[in-house]
Amino acid sequence: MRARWLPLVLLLACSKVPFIDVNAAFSLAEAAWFQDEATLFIFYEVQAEQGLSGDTVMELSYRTDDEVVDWTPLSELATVHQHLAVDCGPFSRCGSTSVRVAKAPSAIKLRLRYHPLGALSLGAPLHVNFVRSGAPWSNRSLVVYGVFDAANTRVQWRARHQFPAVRNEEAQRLGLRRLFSVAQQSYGTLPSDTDLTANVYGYGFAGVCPADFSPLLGADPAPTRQRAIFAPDDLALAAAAAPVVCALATVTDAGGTFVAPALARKNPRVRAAFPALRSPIQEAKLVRMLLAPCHRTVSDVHLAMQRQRLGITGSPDLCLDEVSVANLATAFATLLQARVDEERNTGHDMILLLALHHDETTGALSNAVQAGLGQVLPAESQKSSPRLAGAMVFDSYGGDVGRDDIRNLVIWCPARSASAADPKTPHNCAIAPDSLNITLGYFTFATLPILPSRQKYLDYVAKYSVANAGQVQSLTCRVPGRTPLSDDVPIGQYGVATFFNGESVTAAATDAFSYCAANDKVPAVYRLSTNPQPQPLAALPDAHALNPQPAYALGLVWDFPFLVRLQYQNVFAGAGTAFSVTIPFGIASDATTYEGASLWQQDTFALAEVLLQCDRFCDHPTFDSAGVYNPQVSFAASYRDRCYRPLFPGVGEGGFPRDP
Amino acid sequence: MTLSALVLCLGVLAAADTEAPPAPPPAPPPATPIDAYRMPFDLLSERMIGTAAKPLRFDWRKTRLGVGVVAGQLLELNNFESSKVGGVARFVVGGFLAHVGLNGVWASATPSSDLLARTPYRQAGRPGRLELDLGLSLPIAEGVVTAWPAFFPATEMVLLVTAELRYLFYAGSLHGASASETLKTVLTPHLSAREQGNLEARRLPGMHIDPARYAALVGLTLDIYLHAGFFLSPRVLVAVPVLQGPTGSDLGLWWDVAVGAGYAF
Repeated sequence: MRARWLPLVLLLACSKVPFIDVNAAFSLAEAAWFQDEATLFIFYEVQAEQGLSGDTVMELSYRTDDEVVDWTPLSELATVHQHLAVDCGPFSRCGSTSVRVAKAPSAIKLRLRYHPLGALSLGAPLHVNFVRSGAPWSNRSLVVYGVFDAANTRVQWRARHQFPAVRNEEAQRLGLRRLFSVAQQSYGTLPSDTDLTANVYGYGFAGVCPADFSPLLGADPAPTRQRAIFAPDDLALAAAAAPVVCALATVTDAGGTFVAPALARKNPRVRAAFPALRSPIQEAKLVRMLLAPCHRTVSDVHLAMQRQRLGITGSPDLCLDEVSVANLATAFATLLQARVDEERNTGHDMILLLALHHDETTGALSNAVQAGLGQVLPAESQKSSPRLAGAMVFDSYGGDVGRDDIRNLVIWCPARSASAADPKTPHNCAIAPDSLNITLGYFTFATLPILPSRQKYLDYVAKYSVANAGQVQSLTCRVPGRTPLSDDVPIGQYGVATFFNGESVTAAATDAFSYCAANDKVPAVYRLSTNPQPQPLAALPDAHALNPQPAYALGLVWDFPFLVRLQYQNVFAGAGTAFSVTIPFGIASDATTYEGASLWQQDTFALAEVLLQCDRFCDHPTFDSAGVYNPQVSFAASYRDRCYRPLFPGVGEGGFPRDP
Repeated sequence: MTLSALVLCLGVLAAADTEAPPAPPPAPPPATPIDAYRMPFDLLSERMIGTAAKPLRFDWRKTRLGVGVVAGQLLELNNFESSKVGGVARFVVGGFLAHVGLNGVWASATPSSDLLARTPYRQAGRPGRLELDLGLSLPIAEGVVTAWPAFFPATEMVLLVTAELRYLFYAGSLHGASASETLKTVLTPHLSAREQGNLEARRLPGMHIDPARYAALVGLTLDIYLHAGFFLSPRVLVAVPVLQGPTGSDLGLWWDVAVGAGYAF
């Protein structure tokens, strides 16, 4: 056995390290010949899994009608433009060159020779494009254009490589640097018949800049091999209204220099259409009322709880055993209106807190109370401040609001359904409607809603005591103030749009709007004077583009007129029972809950980043949020339903802006 | 002295130094007093007849520290040449001889590798580096030997089986790495992409950088001690591929041939 392994061990011990193929391959091999520039451009990039030696060389060969150029290292060819040596990493070799070739070349070949002294090479699968004579903006390898900074006062002149198969930034990455300069800057308005539909950068749109343009005084930017350079001075104030700056741009090629006019168009002037919609929110005056029998007792314990919850201390405002159910609605409405008129002098909006203590189970009494509320509340809520904005009713039984005219004005507690999710009564009391009951052997645990029905309350206190039933610590209400100009417009079955104080956006017919849904957390709407029906804010930009209006009134949509803030002590109660003796105990904690519309927690609704308005140069190109200049994307046409967050170039940011 | 006389003397010594042998079979009553000490030769030759003191010229087991210099060549079985020079410290641990070495390795091109660089092929190799060796040797044979020429004193020679773990450090390979990245990569089994990228500029033409950071070697060491404590230590180790999986090494069973010289205290 040992003798059998010995040859294998010796073979392994003496085996040489094998050769490894570097697996070199061209990932980019592009050639472009520009007839107007008499220049052949070469771009290449080679990848090798095992790296490439520093001795490798790129070689080019081609022929024309006048010459035959055999394989020649690129480093030995005279270049038309500057080509930097590029470091593409240890496993790659890349670069570019530009050769003067006056006549159309043929048989263009590119290869990688692994070593200057070696015979082995790797041929490139070269793609060759020919660009014949034509317009400078489409048939030359470099276009020049201008952009403005955020303030629209400083021009940045830019050059952009334009090759059939190599992108602008890729040409820069591969080492190509072009010299360009601008001079004779002037400003004005382009003739109305200037068509920049195809020539989106406006390079070489004419032979020279328009004659009626006013010259800009000051120095021209220095010639540069970077892709961008700022003008040394701000524009003169006289040029503030001019939409365009024109200059003569000079670029180099194999034949010398080429001069053509270049344009810099100002950025759209954009601002917030209506920075913030503000509706002052007030702490409402609480009008407390108790409706209960005066000559008999239903439940003192329960009545005491209702008084504590709503903060009612006095005797009943209306004795239910002195008024028949048939007359209750009118009697209650009369009493309520009198109280409201009495309290109106305080100058505050009001919320009614009504405790309803009774043992009438048919529902006739609660219906009568709702009828009474219906006689007062709808009219009161539409008044300008001070007014009665709504009501919160604490009934002895579970119930709900059955009348449509007060459904959006009244909170009814406790809710009839356990879930309090009845879609017809979305604002019925939803404050912990369900009580928790857990039994663990000799122990039971429970919590009680802070606004319970009488039966539930009495059952609870019988086992866990009144001390563990919790108590309300404070109850406040917030209400938006209404002005004499306020106008409510119903939206659907439950919503209301209120135009509080004539807030509106004014616009010229040439203005353009942009709506940003991502920033929209405000239920704002607009309406026209010709059409009172509120429309979503998202529709305003398109509506203005199709049928411009001088003004758009702004309003807020809400589904309940006030917000109740209830702070109370919640008790997690327990009871231990043994030998027929029950000992209750409880753990108290503070809780806060809101009932009503949470919209009224704030009085300022920011629209600055939701609706933008452009009032000048709205059809000009735009920058996007990455700082890329998009000559085909104008504010007016492209940003009606998109967020406009431009990133403008700034002085000192370098000469190679993002321009893919 | 004849063989029988030598055996007889050894038998006498054995009788004096060892315990009493088992009782011989009953013999006839002695005829003369000397007959009581007679013993058959066969029985005498099978008995342990005694021990002799181990001959030592230098007791390396009683040394506390040995220091020396090492020079050698790495036979990587590729077209590059690698030589090393360094130092070693040796300690006696139990019955073993442990050593810690630090060597600088110089790699150079050869005409073969220069020609290889002209092709699209590479061969695995390693640029210049520092190597940290941790090793343990087990003596398997030792003794006093005479030296040539004759006037040279007798020496103590020890043949050891050696196992070694080697850590390779390429200076500058972590250029540009943060402190945390350095801590994360410096002990990993193979070189990181950053290290290989940095080493690309330093590699020899035609070389594909072997990514292994560790190597395991085994082999034989021959220590020759002079009486005063000087030692000469030729050594041959071969890299065994037990770490080839985690290190990703492309080198096979390469050899390390070195000689060390120093002094043991």
